[in-house]
Amino acid sequence: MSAEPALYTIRIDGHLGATALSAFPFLSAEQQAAQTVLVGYLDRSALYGVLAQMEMLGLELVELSRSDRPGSRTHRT
Amino acid sequence: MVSPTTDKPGRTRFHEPAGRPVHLRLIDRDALLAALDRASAGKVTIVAAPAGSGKSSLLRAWAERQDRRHRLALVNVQRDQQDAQQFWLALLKAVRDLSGDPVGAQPPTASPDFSGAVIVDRILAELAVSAGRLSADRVSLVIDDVHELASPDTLAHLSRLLTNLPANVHALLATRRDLPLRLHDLRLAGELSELRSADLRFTGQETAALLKAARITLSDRAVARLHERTEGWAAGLRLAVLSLTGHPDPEQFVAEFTGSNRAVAEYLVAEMLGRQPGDVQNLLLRTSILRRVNGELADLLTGRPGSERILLGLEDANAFTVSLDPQRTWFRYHHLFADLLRLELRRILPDEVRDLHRTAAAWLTDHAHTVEAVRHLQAAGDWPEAAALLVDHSFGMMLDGQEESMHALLEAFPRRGGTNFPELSVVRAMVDLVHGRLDEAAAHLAVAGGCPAAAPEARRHRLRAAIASLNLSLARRRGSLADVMRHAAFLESPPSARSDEEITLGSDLRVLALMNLGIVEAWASGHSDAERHLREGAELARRIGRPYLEVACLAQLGFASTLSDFTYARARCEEAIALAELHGWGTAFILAPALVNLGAKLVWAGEFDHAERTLQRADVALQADCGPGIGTLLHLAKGMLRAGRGRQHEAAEEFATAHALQSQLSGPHALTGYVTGWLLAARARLGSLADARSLLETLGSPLVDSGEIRNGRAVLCLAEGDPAEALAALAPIFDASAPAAHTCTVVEAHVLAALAHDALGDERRMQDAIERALELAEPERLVLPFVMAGAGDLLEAMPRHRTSHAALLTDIVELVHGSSPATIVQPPPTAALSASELRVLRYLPSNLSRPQIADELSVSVNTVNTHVRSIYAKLQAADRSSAVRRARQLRLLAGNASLQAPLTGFG
Repeated sequence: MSAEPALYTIRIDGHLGATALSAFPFLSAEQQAAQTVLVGYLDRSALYGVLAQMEMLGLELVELSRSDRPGSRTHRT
Repeated sequence: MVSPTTDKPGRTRFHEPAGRPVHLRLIDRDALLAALDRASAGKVTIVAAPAGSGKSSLLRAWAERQDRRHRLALVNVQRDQQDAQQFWLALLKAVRDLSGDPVGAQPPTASPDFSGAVIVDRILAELAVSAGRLSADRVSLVIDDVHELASPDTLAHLSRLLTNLPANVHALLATRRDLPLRLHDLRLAGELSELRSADLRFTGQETAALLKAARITLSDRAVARLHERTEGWAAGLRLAVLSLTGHPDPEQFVAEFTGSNRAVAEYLVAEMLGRQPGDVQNLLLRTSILRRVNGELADLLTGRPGSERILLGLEDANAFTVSLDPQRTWFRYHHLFADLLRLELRRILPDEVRDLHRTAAAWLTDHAHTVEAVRHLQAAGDWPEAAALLVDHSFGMMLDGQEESMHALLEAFPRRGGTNFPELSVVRAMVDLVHGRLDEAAAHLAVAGGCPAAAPEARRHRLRAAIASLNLSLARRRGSLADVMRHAAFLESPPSARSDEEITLGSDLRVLALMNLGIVEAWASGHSDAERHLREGAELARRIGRPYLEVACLAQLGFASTLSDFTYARARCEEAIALAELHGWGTAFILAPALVNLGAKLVWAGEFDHAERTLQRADVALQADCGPGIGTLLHLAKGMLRAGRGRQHEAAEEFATAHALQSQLSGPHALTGYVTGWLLAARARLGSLADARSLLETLGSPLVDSGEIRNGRAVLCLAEGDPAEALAALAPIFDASAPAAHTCTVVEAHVLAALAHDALGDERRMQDAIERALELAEPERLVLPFVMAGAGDLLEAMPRHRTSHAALLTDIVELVHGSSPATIVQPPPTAALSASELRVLRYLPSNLSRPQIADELSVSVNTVNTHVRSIYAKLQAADRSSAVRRARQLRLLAGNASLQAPLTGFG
């Protein structure tokens, strides 16, 4: 896993209100059907911080995916 | 689990049902409770489910259901429990409280030297004891929030504990996420059961029951939809219940809730919050920044009185607020609840957040919750203030076993940016010193050196003192006496005491400096200053309530005062040991000097069994970490003990080890003469005369002229068959022209002289020498020189009427004969001897005839005969010598109570 920031897309169940969203200031949020999609550049520490925060708030994680930054080397994991 | 009132380990979370509020009970989840009952037949049960699944409620409900024959030890791990020690001490205490009547020493107080492995052993030992006492009962360890234990080490120790539980002990753990506990063996043996989130979900029926118990009326359909929307998540249902209670239109609420796509937790918390009266909302939001709340602090943060009532009300309403103590003065919110509240606070009152943190920090500082206070200052972004607070209290935190917390606080300071917080180097240096990283410590101290000049006037002196104290510690560890004295200059000026608080701050570092200085002075033979400094250190430590430091100073004082006053030194050693045992530090490293010294004193006084036990404890305390200084002492004491028991080979080995170790010290020390002198003597007694001679030849002035070495030379001369030469070697000791480290040396000299006179056939002079020796030995009971020199026969042959120290003489003779460890246990006498019989008995070992004994005792010969017959009968002896032998084995000859050791230590 690369330590450089990568673009993460995190999909969770339910819509997040302003309060819960304020826990993720570095991610952009979009409502899609009954889910919320959070997108942002995160390095490894930030990623696990976000996941811990989601655990703490009792959010249901549906999907987590990563795409590398354009121009950076792609790694096979 | 930290006590709410102080930052020290305290009570566990759960308290007696009698003390708990009668609040709205949740339903009894019978199926789950039955599952737990079944699971508790195995060794370990793990409940693993996310936040808000109802784990804690379930554990509590299960605990309350157990009957009195099933004992529970309950521990709740605090959030971000970085100091594993706090958790372990809480668990140990809970286990000890099981038997209701804690056995043995007091529970341990937190200390800097803590070992997870040791405490797990203690817990297992306590469990074995409890399990043995309550043999028909079962015991359960219930640990909630195990996921909060941060370190892999702690989990490893926990795994070991769990896999080694005694037969009728079971452990129930609740955690939010799966943990790397190595429980494979248990799993394979079928001893491990798990309940997971699916198991904890409320069923449709349970949901209906919950709503009914809360007296909420809903249509069946609404109930079903509520259940579906929350997916049976306990926290969701509880939040819904809170919102539904007293709601004007419950059906509408459910419709809106289920119709919304909002994430359940956030929605329901917002709902619940919105339905609270203004003052409650205000309280919840503003106190959400705290880990623990109490009425007073909440009043400060809200700016209004009456918080305590609100908090109690919240708990009674089951609104995610739990009290932490039976008196219900401290509370905390459910983590999920608190996190959402905190986010909401930041969102709607962003300008107030900093001030809230500052207010909290001030109150917490005043109430000695330093770790929390620093966190709040950091959260407020007040980095310089946070740094200052941390620096001032860091040593205290280490003494309280909060090193890991301190480390985390240190790491939280920003590293980027212009300000580097050079003051923090003081903290870093301290940590490095404790862990023996001397070079790193020196580097940090160099950085810290410039701080005091830049600091505000109020703190300047304190900072200077702190840096000087740490530099002194460093110099001592490096063995640089000159540097030690240089840094000790600050001790001359008394602490700038403006207030009681000022005295406490920095006093612990002052004690540290006094202790280090005293240690160095004691080793460099400057006794009087050493004693003064160590005494001052111990007294200051007592005044500021730092028992750990007090033990350390007393233990060192025991050594430092050794050569000036045995009785005082022994008293200090015993004081240190007693204080340490009070806090559960019975075999802690800092106690080692006291144990070794006490051991040595006991050997001097001929109390060999007690000495053996004490030196064994010293071994445990020192483990492998035996620096040359304390190592020399330990092996010297052991050598003395072996010599006292007549095991010359082992004695010689111990003295040789001590001799090798002391060569690693930077200079001669107070006991050098004894180490070398007795090594010399031991070799001579073993017949290795050439080795002894060559050792003697390696010695230069002034050592070679010292009393201790002269004694050694005398032994050698006697072994070589030249008593006249021995006397010549000893002569300067008697006219005081040869320095003697202690009276022991002179006593030994007289004893050796007696042996020489005996060899020359001069009975008169021999007896005079013995008498002189006894006279000098009596005040401090210096029994060892007689035993070591093998003067038992001489003493025995000494007529009683020629000495005014008959009691001491008898004791020594008895010791010489009765101290053999291979003594067989004989059956006890048929009846106890009377006082008059005992008086006669004491004369039997002498060569006095019966008429002479009668003379001595001013009784008739017939009386003596009667007593003797009775003695023979009671001791089952046929003649005088076997009677004497029996009397020795039974320790009947000693006139002094101290030699009547408990028979448990005998044979």
